[in-house]
Amino acid sequence: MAEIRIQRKKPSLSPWVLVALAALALTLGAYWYLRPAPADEPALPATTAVPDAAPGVPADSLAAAPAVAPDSSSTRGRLLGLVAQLSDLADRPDLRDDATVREQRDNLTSATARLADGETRASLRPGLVAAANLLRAVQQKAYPALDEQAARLVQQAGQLSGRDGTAAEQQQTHQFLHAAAALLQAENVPPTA
Amino acid sequence: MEPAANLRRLRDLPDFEVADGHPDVRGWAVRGAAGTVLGTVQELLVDPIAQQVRYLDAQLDAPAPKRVLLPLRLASLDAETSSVFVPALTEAAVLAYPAYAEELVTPAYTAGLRQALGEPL
Repeated sequence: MAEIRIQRKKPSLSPWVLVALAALALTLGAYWYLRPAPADEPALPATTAVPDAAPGVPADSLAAAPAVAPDSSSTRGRLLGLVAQLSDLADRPDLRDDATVREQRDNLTSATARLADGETRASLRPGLVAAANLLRAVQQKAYPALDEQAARLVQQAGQLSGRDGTAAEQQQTHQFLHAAAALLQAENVPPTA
Repeated sequence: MEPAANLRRLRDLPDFEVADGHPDVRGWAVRGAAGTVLGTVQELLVDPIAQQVRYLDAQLDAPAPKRVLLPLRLASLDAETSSVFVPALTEAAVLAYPAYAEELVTPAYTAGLRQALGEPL
């Protein structure tokens, strides 16, 4: 004996719900594309206090403390100070037209945008890695003699956790920043022709 | 006359559909006692309270064109061949079968179809 049952149709998604979801997606998309770029935002006060990294400046002015910022005691503050100096380095006339340097400079800006915005929970790692990559790009453009030092710095960046919660992590990050400052110091010396 | 049950065409119940896991036999072939195709299922007559299909509204072409209601409980379904087998449906039964004109299913109509199929009244 055959049996066929019937059931109430399952409620389908209202067309208005679909319209609302589409509008929400469009709004989010528009916000994403039209939001101000980090480069358009006002510079942090910290960057105004950063020493000039132009060629010719005595190298010892950039020694071990890369960040001269109000918060220069913290890893975040030191990284932001380093970012400012690296930006100046990347804007140097003999480097700024190099595509790789420009790309790595943009990467660094993007990677540290959240830190610059004051987001305390943002990871430090993208900024540290991007800083190493920019120093590496500058080295490859103009400082072949620093190849080993730059490669080591990139490797060192890759091993960072991006946190500085423990003493070990702080030590590791400190060593990286110290090595980055040393390489920056070397790259601030105009290349020999 | 009163309808035999609260039967409705499924197409007239926009809030209902054939339940998941059950075949929608509309369009399936109707085969009689000899296994030959006698017609096609056109519509389902359902009891919306019991949520069951009660009758198949079929258009028979052989041995003579006739619109009939077939009680589902007397049918067997074969999904592989998309066929509804009604063993009690002989040529003689089709000829004796009361025609269905999409009117209400009255007790007189159900008595007529039972008689044609040799079922007890």
